[in-house]
Amino acid sequence: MAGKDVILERDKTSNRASFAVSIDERAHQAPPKLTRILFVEDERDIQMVARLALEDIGGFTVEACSSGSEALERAPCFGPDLILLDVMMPAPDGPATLSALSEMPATAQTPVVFVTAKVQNHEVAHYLELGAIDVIVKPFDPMTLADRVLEIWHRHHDP
Amino acid sequence: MGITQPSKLIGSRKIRLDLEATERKLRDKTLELEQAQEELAAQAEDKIRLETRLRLLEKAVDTVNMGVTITDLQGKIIYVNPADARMHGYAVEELIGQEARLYASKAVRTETGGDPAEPWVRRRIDSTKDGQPFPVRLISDRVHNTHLQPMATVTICEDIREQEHIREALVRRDNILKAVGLAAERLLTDASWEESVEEVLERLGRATGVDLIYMSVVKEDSPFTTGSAILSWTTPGGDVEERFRQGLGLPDRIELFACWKDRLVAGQTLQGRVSELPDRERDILDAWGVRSFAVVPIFVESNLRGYLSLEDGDDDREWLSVEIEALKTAARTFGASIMTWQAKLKIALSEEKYRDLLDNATDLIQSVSPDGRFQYVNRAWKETLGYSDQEVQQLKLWDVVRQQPSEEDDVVQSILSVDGQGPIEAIFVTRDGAEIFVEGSINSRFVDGLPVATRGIFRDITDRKLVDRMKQEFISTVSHELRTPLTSIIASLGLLDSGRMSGDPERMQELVAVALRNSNRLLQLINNLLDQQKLEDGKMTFKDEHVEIVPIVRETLDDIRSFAEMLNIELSLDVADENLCARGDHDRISQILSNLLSNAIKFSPPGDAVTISCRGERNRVVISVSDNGPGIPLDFQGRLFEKFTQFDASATRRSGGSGLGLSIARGLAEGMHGRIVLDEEVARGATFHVELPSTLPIAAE
Repeated sequence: MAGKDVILERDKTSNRASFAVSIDERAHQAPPKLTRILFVEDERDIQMVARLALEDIGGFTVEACSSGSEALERAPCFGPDLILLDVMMPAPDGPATLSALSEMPATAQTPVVFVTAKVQNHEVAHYLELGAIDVIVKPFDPMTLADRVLEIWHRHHDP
Repeated sequence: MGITQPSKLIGSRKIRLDLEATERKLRDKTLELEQAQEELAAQAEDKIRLETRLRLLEKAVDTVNMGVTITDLQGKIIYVNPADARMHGYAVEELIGQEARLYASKAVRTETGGDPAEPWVRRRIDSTKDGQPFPVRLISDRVHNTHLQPMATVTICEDIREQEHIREALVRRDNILKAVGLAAERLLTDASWEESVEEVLERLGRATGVDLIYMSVVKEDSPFTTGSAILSWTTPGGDVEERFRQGLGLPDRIELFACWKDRLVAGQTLQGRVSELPDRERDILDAWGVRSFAVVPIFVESNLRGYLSLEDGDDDREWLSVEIEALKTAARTFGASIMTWQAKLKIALSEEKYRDLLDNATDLIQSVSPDGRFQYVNRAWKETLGYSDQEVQQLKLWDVVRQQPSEEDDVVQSILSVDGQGPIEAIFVTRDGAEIFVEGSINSRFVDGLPVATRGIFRDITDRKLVDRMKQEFISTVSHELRTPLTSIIASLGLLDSGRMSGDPERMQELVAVALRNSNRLLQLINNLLDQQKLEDGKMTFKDEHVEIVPIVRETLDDIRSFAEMLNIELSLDVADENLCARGDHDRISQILSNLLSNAIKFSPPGDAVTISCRGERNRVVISVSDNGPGIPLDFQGRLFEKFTQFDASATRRSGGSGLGLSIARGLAEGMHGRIVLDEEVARGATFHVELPSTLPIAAE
């Protein structure tokens, strides 16, 4: 609960417990709108269905790339609000691409979400450690993919 | 007298005077006579006294035990007492008039003493009449007449055989006791018991002057038959030594011991002449040349545990009580030492047992002092980590334990912890820098409440870790490979199902194709997994038939062409002989080629070509698949055909890849008595050769 603290205290004399809750009263700003998504996926079929799900159902503007290097090339020009990144790709793979994106001024602040089938606990922990804001698990439901992306987007901006 | 006439008076006075003078003289004479008579009587009395004294003296000299001789100035015996004659084996009469030198042994003559004018003392070896030497002590003095002129020599002779014997025995006893002192010092403190015993036996042997001395000891808890541990010393070069060294007649000795056992158990010492022993015992020792012996029992906590045996080839060897007492003391010391020795032996044995246990344990066992030094490591530890004993002494715990940056020195602290810890996992680093995963537990040893060592027992779990890692990788890979086509299938079917694509038949068609294509891919993956398992279990079945190779190659190429076109890869075929035939299974050969071609296509750069060629080589058919891709890194070639291995872990796959293709292809080729090899001489890309046993063309058959 970042920004909100819950403190459990024990009164030593009476041996009674008390809770103190403090809520950070930050200025509540409207989150930026999510419109442009860079989708990086080397599986053409997945690329195709995901694009349909995000564009036709989610109404986002999607730029699909088949490799990490293609993504690095096109991201500055496209200017995505969010990047969806596959993990298992021909070099550079997902993590390497994330690292390169975070070093480019145009994308250094752009949130990245991994979309992957490799989702064992330690793997997910590793992605978050690398700087991804969340992970979308393959296979995904094409009808709710856009909602899931939006949810991640909002949570990122209003935790 | 009353006469008064003057003349007359004058005459009578004169007579009276004369008479008076005569009377006086007579009185004097009488006195003289009386004095002379008295003197004479006194002289007679003296004479009688002297004669008596002489008689007594002569009697005394005749009956005394000491020899007395009187020689004249020429050295001839003028008197000899019976004792002296007897001592030398003569009759008194034989000696009178003989030279006194007759006694002295020619062999040894020892003079002691001083000025001939004074009495002098000598030690001399005399001989008896029949030539037996014996030691005597002589005291001689000259006899002088009233004019102080020498008249004769008186010599008192004492047989000192007994005295010398006692002195010798005392010296012997002293030497034995010295040896016993040494024994006590060496046996109770020294590490090498046997060596000390042998040294002490030699001392004892030399002190007692015997030919052979040996100690026989039985091991604890074994029935006492005879000595099971025999340590000995013998006079170098003697017959007894030779026989003893050769172990001759040992069964006889065992029998001998059986005869003596009861007496030894009762604490008796046996000693004496062999000639006086019962027949059998005598025969046994006779055979060894032993004439005299002494056996002293050795007790440990009042149990007979051995004996000390002294043997000598001299029939006259006497065993004096002082000597036997000293030997008993020696035996007691040996007894005490046996006890100490056996206790040490027990400790050593149990130490050895534990050391053996530790050294043969496969676990890594260590004991570390609080400052991190290794007090003990077992053999498995040294072998696994590759350190020598000397190197271990220089090592500290942190040289061996890999520090994890995130854990700081927690692992080292855990291993040094005195609290005793359950399972600890750590990474040990070998001398060569390799990492060994270990799991183990530790506990501490305390002395006076302070920790002195932390003991750790670790098991090398590197293999288990590798298997775990492989398992995890397998699950991760398979899960990914299943989920990837499923993603396309579920997503495309989901979109179709939503009805949102109903106005776009072309897109619908496209989505159906995606679902179909990925379903096939899924099926292919499942088949691969099953094939791999069948090959591993040896349950894969193969048809054994004549097959024409080129048609199979063409069919396989046709099947994979669309995949190659999708990735913009050209396929080319190079056939040397259209009629190549092999023994094998048509479908499996196709499967092998399909796997190889699929890999080659996947790893080729777009626009490039993959070539498949067929040729006959002696008794085999060789089908080669070549690409111009990145090739196989050298360090990966060894694991190339292992399942679930992909040289690029970041998984650069364009269209799936379970890491099973090559493993299955090899299994299939081997199942048909063929093989697959990577051509290591190709500089660019990768070339695999599939070799199958060839047969004659079907038409020719």
